[in-house]
Amino acid sequence: MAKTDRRILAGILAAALILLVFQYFAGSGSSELALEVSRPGEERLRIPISSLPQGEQGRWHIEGAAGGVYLSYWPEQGVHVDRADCPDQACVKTGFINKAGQSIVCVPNQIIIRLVALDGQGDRGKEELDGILK
Amino acid sequence: MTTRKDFSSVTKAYIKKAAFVFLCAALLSGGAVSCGAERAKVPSFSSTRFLMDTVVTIRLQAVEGSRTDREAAAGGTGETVALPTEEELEQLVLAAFSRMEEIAVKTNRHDPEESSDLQKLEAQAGDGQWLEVSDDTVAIQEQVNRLEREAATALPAAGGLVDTSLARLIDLWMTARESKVLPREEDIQSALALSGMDYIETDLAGGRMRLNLADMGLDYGAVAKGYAVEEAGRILAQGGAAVYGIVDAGGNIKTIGQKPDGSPWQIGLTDPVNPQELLASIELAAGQVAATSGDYQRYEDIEGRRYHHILSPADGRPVWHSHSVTAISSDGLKADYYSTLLFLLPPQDALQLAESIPDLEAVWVTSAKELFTTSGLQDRIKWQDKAGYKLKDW
Amino acid sequence: MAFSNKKAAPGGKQSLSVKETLLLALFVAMSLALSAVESLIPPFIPLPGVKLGLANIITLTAFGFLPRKQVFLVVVMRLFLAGLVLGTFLTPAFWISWGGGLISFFVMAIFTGRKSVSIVGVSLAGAAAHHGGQLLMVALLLSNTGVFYYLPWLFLSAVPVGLFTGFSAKSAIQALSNSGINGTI
Repeated sequence: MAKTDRRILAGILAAALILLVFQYFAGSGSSELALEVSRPGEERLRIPISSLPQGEQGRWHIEGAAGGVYLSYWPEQGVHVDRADCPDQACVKTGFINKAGQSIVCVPNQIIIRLVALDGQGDRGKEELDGILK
Repeated sequence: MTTRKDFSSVTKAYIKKAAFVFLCAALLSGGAVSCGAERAKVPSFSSTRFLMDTVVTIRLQAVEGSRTDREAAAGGTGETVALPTEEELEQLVLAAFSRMEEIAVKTNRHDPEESSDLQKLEAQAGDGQWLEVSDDTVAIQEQVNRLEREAATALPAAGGLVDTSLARLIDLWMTARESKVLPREEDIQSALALSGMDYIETDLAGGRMRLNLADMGLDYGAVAKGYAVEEAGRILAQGGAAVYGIVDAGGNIKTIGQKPDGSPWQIGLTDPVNPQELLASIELAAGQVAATSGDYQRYEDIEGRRYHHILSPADGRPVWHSHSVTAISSDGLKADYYSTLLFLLPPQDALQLAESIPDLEAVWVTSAKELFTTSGLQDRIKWQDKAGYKLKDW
Repeated sequence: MAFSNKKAAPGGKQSLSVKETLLLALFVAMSLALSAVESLIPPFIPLPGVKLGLANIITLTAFGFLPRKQVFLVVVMRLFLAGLVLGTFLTPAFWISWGGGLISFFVMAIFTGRKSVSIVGVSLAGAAAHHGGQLLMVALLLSNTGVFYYLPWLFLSAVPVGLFTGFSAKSAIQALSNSGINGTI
């Protein structure tokens, strides 16, 4: 391998590593998570994770361009898409997400499901809310 | 030939490598799939859609617990409430959504095909012809008329304030917000001249309506969502005592049934000055609707002033008495109607009115950043500690 | 070595010679075949439409025999035809492949022909650019930057992919030159 080859290789690995470290620290340190659901050109929906229907209590349907996706939240493991109306099922294959910054993307449905930290709002997470008047 | 040999050995190595990558990819994706869904124990179904310009979420859950618990929930009649399956819950939720969509379509003023009831009424306003409209379209207007009479009897100043005939004025302000240029006074006056609830004629039995002034138009923006939420709740209530849940349409939230642990529903109230934060949490009883009208929901800051979407038919301008008013009632349309009416009135008058109307509670965040509620709500609200606000005792 | 032997056809701006036309057609056909094979591989990262970039093997090989302009043609024709052949024409997957294909072409075009960079190095840079470009396209299509969460993982996966395509292209160039084809006319 030529000299610059090794530099290119090192550059790619370093970029990956720096990004991973950044993500790790950006994702930790916040107590309460919220699920953010967005579709292009539409208002973002943000739900504190504590108010999601929990694991054994079933699924949550989000309408999308190709029909939609079905989510569930398992307190131990995280958020997960069980079913999607799309041919490739890539979002189902993502498995569980449970850290801030992680996301599940469904391109055919144009839906992005992302975990975000409810920063500075730790107090509000203490009592569980059933809904928020907007 | 050496070249041929080279080629085939290259190809072989190639195929080997490709097969390896293929295998890795298959294993990886297979592993992800296998950690998929497990079986649900207590059925529940939630769904989110975008309709009436907002994100609407419906959550419905089956009442957990033993057979006897469910007997008790049925009111001790000896009947057992069957635990609904997830599919049954899904059907209820989907039916509720189709009902809301039906209402959204009929009351949409911006349907590209110009085929909604409100658009057709507007198109033939002033020509004296009755138009057959959907039951919902008549029902909304009839209920608004009834609420208006009730409110005006209790407080004459409340008469005509929530006006469903302000389409021209609303359009004028919409353009103003988009272009960030304030409308001229004469344009406001001519838009106001093209309004008036007296020009709306309804025939509930005949399912007909007509508008008796050319170029006027109806806008149900102040009440349609409340009505839709109520209708969705009506469908979800078919699940009876075996289900509980919530219809969350942003500014309008309706509860369905009782939470199985007996605790009240807790609804967060948005801080109008900092809409990312919460200002309070309010307890709701089974079947109640909370509706909020706020100056932070749709607005544009023009020339240093907040021009929001809640307009007074008195002067044709936004009203700045309050930052937000939340009304609570067992009926969705009533809650939605009063959240607007109480927002449009000076807080003292509004409080006086709200106290005299049965089945109505309210929360004010006034523009002076004073916080208060109707007397019936005082024990059911928990304020967050927020700098800049002062709690007012009456 | 055939790889460094990449002079423009004599007569510069004249139309393509028969040999160049044949090579071009050959490369387009081969890269198209690789795109088809690739479409059978399950998504390696949970973003539909994001591919490994096996067709880069041919792009790299083409750099060894054709001037950059012609290689660009190979890439563009492959992207276009793959859309038609695989039935993804004008779908999100189609645009994602353009994002990856074009950006990786430009990055490889920059690195190619330098003494200090071997074909494997070019391939590594191309693979990283290919993955980055695809992700950029997904972000544009969904108007959401949240998908960049996958960027480090894509970079990491670019390493084995880049090594694989690089060594494959090296062997392909050798095999092609041994069979009598070379860049000069």
